Amino acid sequence: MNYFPDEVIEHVFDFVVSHKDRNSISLVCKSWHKIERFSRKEVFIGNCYAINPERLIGRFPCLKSLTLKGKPHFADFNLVPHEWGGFVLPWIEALARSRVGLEELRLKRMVVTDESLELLSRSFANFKSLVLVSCEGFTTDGLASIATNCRHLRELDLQENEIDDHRGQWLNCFPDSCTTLISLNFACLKGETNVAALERLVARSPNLKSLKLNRAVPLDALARLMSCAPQLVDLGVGSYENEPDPESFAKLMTAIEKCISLRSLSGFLEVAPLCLPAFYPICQNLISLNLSYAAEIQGNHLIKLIQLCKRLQRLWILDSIGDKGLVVVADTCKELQELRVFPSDVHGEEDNIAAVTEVGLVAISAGCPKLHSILYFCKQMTNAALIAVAKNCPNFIRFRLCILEPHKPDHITSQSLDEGFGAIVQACKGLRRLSVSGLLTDQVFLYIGMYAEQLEMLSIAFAGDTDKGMLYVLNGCKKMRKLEIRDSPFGNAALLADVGRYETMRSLWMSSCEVTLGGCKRLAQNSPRLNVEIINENENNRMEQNEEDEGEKVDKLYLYRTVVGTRKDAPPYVRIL
Amino acid sequence: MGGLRLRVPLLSPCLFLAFHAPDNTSLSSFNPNFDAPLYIYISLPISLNSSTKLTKNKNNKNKNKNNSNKEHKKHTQEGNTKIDIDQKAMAYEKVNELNLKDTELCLGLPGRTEEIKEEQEVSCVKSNNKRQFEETREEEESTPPTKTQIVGWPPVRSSRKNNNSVSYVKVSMDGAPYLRKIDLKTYKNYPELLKALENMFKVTIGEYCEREGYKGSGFVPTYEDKDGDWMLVGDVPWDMFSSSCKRLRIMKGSDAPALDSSL
Repeated sequence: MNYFPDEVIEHVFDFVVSHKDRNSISLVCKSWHKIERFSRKEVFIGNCYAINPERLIGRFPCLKSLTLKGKPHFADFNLVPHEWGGFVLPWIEALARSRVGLEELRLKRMVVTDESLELLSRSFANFKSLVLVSCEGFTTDGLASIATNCRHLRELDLQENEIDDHRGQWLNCFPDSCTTLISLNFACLKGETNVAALERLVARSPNLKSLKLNRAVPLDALARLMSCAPQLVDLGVGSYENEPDPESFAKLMTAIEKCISLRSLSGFLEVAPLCLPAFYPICQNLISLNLSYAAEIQGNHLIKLIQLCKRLQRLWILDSIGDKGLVVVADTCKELQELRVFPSDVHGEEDNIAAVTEVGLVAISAGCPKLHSILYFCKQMTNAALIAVAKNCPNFIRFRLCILEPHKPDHITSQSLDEGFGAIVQACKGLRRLSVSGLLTDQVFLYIGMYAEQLEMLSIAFAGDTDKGMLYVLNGCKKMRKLEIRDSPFGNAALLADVGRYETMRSLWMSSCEVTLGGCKRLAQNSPRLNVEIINENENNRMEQNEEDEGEKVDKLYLYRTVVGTRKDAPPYVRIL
Repeated sequence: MGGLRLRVPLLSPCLFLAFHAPDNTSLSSFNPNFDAPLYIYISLPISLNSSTKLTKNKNNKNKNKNNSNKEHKKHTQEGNTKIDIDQKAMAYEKVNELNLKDTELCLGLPGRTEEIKEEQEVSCVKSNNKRQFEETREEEESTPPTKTQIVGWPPVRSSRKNNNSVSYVKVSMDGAPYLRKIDLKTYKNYPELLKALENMFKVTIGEYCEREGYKGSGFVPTYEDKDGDWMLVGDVPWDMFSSSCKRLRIMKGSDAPALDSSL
C-alpha cells in the first residue's frame, strides 16, 4: 500500500501534530501504525490509570514528551482524598529503566515526590521542560535537584501546586553555566525567595520569556528584574509594599516602559493599587491579563487598568470588578476570547454589593464578538439573560456558569434555569464543555442531550429530578468524554442503562447521588475494561463481605476505562469492584 | 428597593424609637431578640410584603434552597427590619432585660461571652410558588448544609479561597457613635495598626508594654479572638493576631478594668 519509502511517510507524519489525528493515522494500516509509533514524539495520557508505563514505552519507544493526568477534576475542590492515587514515580522509574530520551514532562493532579524529581533530574540528560499543574507531595528540595542536575533546562513551570516550601536555596542550585531558561514560574511557592540568586539567574538567561514570581519578591527587586529582562513576554508580579516611595516607583516605571514585548501579565498577589499605574504604559500591548488573585484591588482601580487594554484576548478577574466593570470590559476589549470571573467572597460573609450578576454577563456577550470561553461565578441569573447571551454569542466552546447558591432559580421569575441553558446548548453548536448550576430539572438535560452534539465534558451539581436526566445526557451526547456529577438524584437505573457507553468515555464521577453499592457491583461485573472505584472515607463503613448492604448508597463513585485492569496502588478506603 | 434605612444606636435603654411605615405597606412582625443588636434599624418605607425574620447567623445566609425574592436580599446583621409600633412596649421591656453580648457597643465588661443565639433564619417566601415553599420548609426541619458546610462548594481551588479572604474587622471605640472597619491585611505589624487606629479615631493609644499593657495613654486596644475571648492587642505575634482577630474594641482607659479581674 505504501508507494513511498517509510522515511517519506514519516516526514509527512511530522506535520501531523494533534494527538487525535495521530491516533487516527495509526489506525489506517499496520504499516502506518508502525511508522507512526516510532516517530511519535509527544504522548498525551488523560488518565494515568488507563494504561501503564510499560505498555506506553513498548508502543512509543522514541517519545520525548509525556503529559499525564492523575486525579479526577473534582479533586481540585477537595472531593478526592489525598492518598487516592496518581503517583508519578512508577512512570519516571519505567522511563528511566528503558532509557527513554525524555525531554518534557507535563503533569496535572498527580502526586510528585522529591524522590521522583531527583530521579527525573538524574535520568534524562536532555531533559528540558517540567510543567506541574495542581500537583502535590513535593518540596523545594525536589526543585533543587531539578535546578542542579538538569543542564539543559528550559522550562520550569509550577502552577497552583501544593509545595512544601523549605525556604532552601533552590534558586541558588542553578549552576552558573545554566543560561538556557526560557520560562520560570514559581508563583505558587509560599516561602521566601533568595532574591539575589533570582536576579543573577535572570541576568544570565537571555532567552527568558516568561517569569512568574511569588509573593516574596518585593517591588524594588521587580524593577531590577525587569531591567535585566526587557525581552519578557509573560510576567507574573509578586508583592508590593503598601505605598512605594516615589523613587522605587519611578524605577519601576522606567523598567516597565522598556518591556515592549510584554504581552501577558499576572500575579499581583499582594498589591497596592497605587502601583498599578506603573503598568499603564504597556497595557495597550497586553493580550492576557490575570488579576484573579488580586483581592486587594478594588473595582475602580481594575477598571482604570482594563480601559487601557484594548487588545486583550484573555481576562481572568475577580467579581469585585462588578457589573459596571464588565460593561467597561465589553466596551474596551473587543478582541476578548476568554473570560473568567472568580468569586471574591467565597464564604458569603461580606455583603458584596459589587459582585457580578446576569447584567455583566449579558453586557460581555453583547460587546465581545470573539468570546468563546467563559467561566462565570455569580449570585444570581435569569433565563432571559442566558437566552440573550446565547443569541449574542453562538460561538461558545466552553460555557461554565456557577451560581453560588445551589438550586437557586431565576431570581425574577422564580422558574428553573432549564430554558436559559437550553438556549445556550441550542445556539452554541460547537460547545465542548459545559458546567450548569442553579435550579434545574430533568428538562435541561433533555435539551443538552438533544442539542449539545459536540459536548465532551459536562459538570453537574445539585441538579435534576430523576434518572431520566442522566439518561438524556448519556443517550444524546455522543462525544461525551468526561461526565462529573455531584449531589444530584441520579441512581442505578441511569447508571446501568448502557454500560458499554462508558468505554467510549474517559471517566464518570458521581458523588452524593443515588447510586448504590449493588448497582456499582452490577456495573463492574460486566465490564472488564472499566475500573469501578468506590471511595468511602468513613472508617466505620468498612464491613465484611457478607454483611454488605447492597442498597447502601455510594458516597463517591469514579469509573474509568482502562486496558490494564485494576490498579495496585489504591489506598484502603478505595474499593475497586 | 427603596426606603431610607437608619441605624440608630441604642445608647441607653430609654432611647427607643420606632417609626411606622405608611398605611399602604404591610408591616412585618418584628421579633426582637435583644441578645444581640445594640442598634435599631428603622426603615421607611419598604415594600416587603412577606414576613421576614432577622437573621444573625451569617453562615446561614441563603440557607433556603429556593429563595426567590425579587429584591436583592441582604442577609447580614443589618437586615431589613420594620418595627411594629404596637410592639414597642414589649420591645421596651425586652430592652431592659438586655443580654448585652454583641459588641458593636459594649455596655458591659469585656470577657463576657454569652453566646448569641444565631438560630434565627431568614425565610423569604414567595407565596405564589408552593413547590419552593414546601421544599424550604423541609429544609428547615432537616438543617441542610449551609454554604460554608458544603464540601467542595463553590467549585473554587483552595489556593483561591485563601487569597480571597479579605480580612476586614470592625473597630469600635468607647464613646464613638459608629464603628469603623479596617483590613488587617494592610498592616504588617502592631505599630502600623496602632498608628492607623490613632489616626482613625484621633486619639493616642501609646505603646505596648508586656507587663502593663498600654498604661498611661487612656485607651486600651482589645480584640475578640476566634474563641470569643477578649484579649489585649499586642500579646501574641502579629501573624497569630491577624489571623485570629475577629473584631477590635478600643476601650477607654478609665473604664477598662484590670485585666486579671475580667472573666
